[in-house]
Amino acid sequence: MTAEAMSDPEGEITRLLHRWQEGDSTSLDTLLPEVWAELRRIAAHELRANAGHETLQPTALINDVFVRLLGASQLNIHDRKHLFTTAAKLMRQILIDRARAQLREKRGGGQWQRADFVEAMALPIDAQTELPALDQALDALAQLDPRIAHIVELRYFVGLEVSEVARLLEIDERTVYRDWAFARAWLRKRMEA
Amino acid sequence: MSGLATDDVSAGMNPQSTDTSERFARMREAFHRVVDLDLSQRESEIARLSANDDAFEADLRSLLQHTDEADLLSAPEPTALPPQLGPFRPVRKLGLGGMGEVWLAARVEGGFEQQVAIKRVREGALSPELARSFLRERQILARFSHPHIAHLVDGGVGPDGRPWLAMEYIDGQRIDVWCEARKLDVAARVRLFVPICEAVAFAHRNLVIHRDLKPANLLVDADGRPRLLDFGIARLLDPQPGQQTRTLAAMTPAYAAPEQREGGDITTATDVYQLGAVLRQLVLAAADGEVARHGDLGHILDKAVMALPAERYSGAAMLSDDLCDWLARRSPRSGIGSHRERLKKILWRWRWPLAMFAAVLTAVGSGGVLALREARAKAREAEVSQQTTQFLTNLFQGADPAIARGAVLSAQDLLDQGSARLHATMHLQTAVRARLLHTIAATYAALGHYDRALSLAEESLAARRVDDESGELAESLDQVGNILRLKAEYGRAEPVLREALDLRVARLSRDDPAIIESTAHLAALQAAKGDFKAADVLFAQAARAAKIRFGEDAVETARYLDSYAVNLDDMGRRTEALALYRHVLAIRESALGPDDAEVATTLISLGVHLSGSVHHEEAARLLERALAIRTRIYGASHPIVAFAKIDLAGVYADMGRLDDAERLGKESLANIRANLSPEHPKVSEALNMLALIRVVRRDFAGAVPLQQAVVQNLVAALGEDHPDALTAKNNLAYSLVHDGRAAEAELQLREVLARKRDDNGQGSAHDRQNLASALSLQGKHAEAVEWQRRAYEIQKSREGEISPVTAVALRELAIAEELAGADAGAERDFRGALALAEQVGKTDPIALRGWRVPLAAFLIGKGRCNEAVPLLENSLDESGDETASADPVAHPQMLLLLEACGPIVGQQPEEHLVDACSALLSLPGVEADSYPTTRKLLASRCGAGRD
Repeated sequence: MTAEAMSDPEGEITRLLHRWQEGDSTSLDTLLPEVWAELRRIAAHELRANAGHETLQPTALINDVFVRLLGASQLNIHDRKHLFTTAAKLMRQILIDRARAQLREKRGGGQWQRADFVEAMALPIDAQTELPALDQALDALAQLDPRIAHIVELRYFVGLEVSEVARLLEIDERTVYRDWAFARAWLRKRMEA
Repeated sequence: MSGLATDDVSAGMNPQSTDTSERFARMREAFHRVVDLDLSQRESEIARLSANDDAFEADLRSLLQHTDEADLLSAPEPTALPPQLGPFRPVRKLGLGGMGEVWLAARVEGGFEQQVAIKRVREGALSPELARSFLRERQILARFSHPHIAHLVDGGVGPDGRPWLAMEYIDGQRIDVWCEARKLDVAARVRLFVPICEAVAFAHRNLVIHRDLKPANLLVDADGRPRLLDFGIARLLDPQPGQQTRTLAAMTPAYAAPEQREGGDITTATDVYQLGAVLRQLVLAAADGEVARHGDLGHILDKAVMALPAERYSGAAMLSDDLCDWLARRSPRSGIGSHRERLKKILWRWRWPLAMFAAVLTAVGSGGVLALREARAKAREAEVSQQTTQFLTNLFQGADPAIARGAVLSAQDLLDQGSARLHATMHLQTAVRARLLHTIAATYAALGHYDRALSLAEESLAARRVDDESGELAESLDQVGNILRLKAEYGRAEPVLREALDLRVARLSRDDPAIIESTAHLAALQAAKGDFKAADVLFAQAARAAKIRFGEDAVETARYLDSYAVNLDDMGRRTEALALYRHVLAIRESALGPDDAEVATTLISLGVHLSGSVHHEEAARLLERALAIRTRIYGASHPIVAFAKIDLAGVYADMGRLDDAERLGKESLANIRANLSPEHPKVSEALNMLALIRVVRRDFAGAVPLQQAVVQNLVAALGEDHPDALTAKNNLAYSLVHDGRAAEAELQLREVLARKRDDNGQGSAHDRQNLASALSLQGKHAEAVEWQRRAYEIQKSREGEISPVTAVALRELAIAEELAGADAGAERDFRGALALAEQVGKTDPIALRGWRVPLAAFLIGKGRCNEAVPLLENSLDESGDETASADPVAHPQMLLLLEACGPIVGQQPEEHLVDACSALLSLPGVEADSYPTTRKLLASRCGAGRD
């Protein structure tokens, strides 16, 4: 699928974005997995290869989508860290909005398969996770330790591997593993209660 | 594997609201340290890091519990599409697991289409050695087929040296997601789960344990059929139990059983735990977190996830059974909720009533209930007793004062609840039901509710007659027979008790306690029927067997000796009985302490025995003590307390404490009428006691109707020939004689004596003396002498020569002889009787005037005042005011006799005579109690009987 996305001319992205802005949510569902796969590809390449690239310009695809999603006139990314952080915040917001919309539609009797979207995004978010609760718990976690919350965001909402997060945040990989396990336990415990 | 569940985290969220950044940082630090350690090292580190901060330690532990160890493992290297594995070509990646990745693959060899899920073990996860055993084991798993289990299709080692497994591919949804999407209610979720339990049970029967049951491994396919994934996989990857790190890697912490976390043995109970954990999560999601509203389901889940494997269901089949019962709205057949802690707590709360039940059971002699246990098959007993215990637990739970709205329930209420619940509960095994019926019946019987006891005992008996594989039929027969005996339905009791004894003799070893118990019960029946000789043989047999089985001085033996002694007493073998009573009392007091129910029973036997002689004070003391013990143990309203009161009333009456005696008699009558049937023999005993008090008060006219009622009751209950019925008739005759109805009395007494002709060891001197008295009042003196002579012979042989009753019997003979005109014999016997009384008086305090005065009267009748006056003066000195009131006849009679020998010194003759005459004439039935000379004086000097 990623191969197809890459070969897709920019016109297709623009078309989908346009349809999305006109209220067709399915167009974004098609687009976003492509964009996020692209993001991860960059992470895998850039971060693994390392080589002191401090700045990272998003591809046209990412740039275009981000601009539209953020409602900005143009995307101003300082560095790669900023890129992924922005992506994480965006996705977090998208998922929360969708979860809330789903709850509203549930009350109205509508059925919307949020799970398919998360799966399509290939994000490591547990299928049973209640996103609004996760959102709140993450806020609380950020109050106590912003860096740990940041790790979770990058893992959950961008889908970065631990090693990638470690390189991006310039922390020892083993520490990220432990913090990741710790954060997940903390969040599970909090959301269970 | 798609979809998001939504409901399991919707509750409030405030657990760490008190978290501070500092505390969080400390927690994070500790977490980092601990997770790097082996499981075995973690404990000490947790303690060290917590530094006695309990809240911190609890939080840390909780976090570790919530940790997914897989989060700590390095992610697998991103892989390209793996090469063809066996006949399968990987198509796309399905997911990642702790052990490796999962690929959807399609068969490309073998000529048919097949999709499989291939698991590839992560590099380095298996040693070459383990890889080989992995290949061996997969053959076993490949043959392992069940409709609800995704089976192993193939497996091998890839070109890169990494083992792989091909599983049947299930295109389905995780069970939790599936349930949420359909908004299934609790029952539907449980229904969906039952085939899963059955599939796991199937695996268990094939000795395969899953070890990693979790929602991700439980899929519902397109047909709505639940399917289990990865069966046996964990074992393939971890063939050696006890290797903690591997076990850990192969499990999912959220659903891991404690023994998995702690490196303990993995058993079928481990799967039970995981099933319980998953089902609990499913149920909670549908039940808004309140499982309590779903009755036993909560108990079932609790039992499934008990921390100790031994306290869980032992296999998935039992869990499945209980779930099916819950779905069918039956009580779970495992008898759920019986875990020891709760039971212990409840039983502790009710320790007193339970102790009381135990005491009551022992006292009434339901010992067979316990004795038979030894003969029972152990396995079956365990099963039955578990359900029984459960039932009793529920019973006591129901009696929780909090539940019963503050009212503390009596034992009675408990039993009523219990029997009602037992009848409302349909699914209990027959054996369990029979046992419960038996137990409740025993307790009812112990509480004196014989009717209720009987109907339950008969129900239990009927059930065991149909199905006696447990060998408890004899127990029920024995119980029914005993209750019938207590209800005085002797005719019905006998065949039942005999059948019980025969059955036990046939089935048990010769010295089995149950046989001894049965023998004693049959003996007690014979004694109750009045066949003391038959009872004696059986009691002796039981006592002998008990001595061999339990030892000479065992408490168990004492129980049989006690009954044996009572029977000896009833047979008139008083000396043997007394020795035996004292022996039994010594055993019981030393073994049981002074305040025991069995001690009380012996005290009563002994007290009653002593009250038959002149030791009233000692008898009263013993009986008062017995009454106090019984009142304390059983409560004032128990009939067994009333029985003791009757006996004590008798002693009080003998002591002249008539008001006390009457009070006790009335109390016991009311108690027995309220608790037992109006026809119960003990009602007669109480009435008899009240009649006796009227007799002592010389209210013979008042005593007669009471005594007639007693006769009627006893004849109806016990039959015409029962010794108690005959004694009652004798008592009635005594009152009739004194009420001037000598002819009626004679008829009664002749019938009594006729019925006693075969005299099975129960001969009584009193009926003969009474008959003689009735005869002499009618002028039939010669025959009266004969009956008095026989009465004397009986007393002499039974009590020995030197005995107050023998002395009385000889005196009565002398009076009869005097009346018959046999003066020589009369004088000889008067003097002989006085000599005997003087002998007795050397050891026991007796009033010698009872022998001096009749002799004096005889002498005065012969005009021998010089010999008579010293005897009378002695007697007047001896008797004080107390005697005058206790024996209203004696004092005025003496005065009358003295006056007949000339004016009494220092007293006004006329005045004196008038007092004595009016005192005597005011006494009803005085004639029957006066000596022949006095009778004449009453006529000549007081003007009595002139018309």
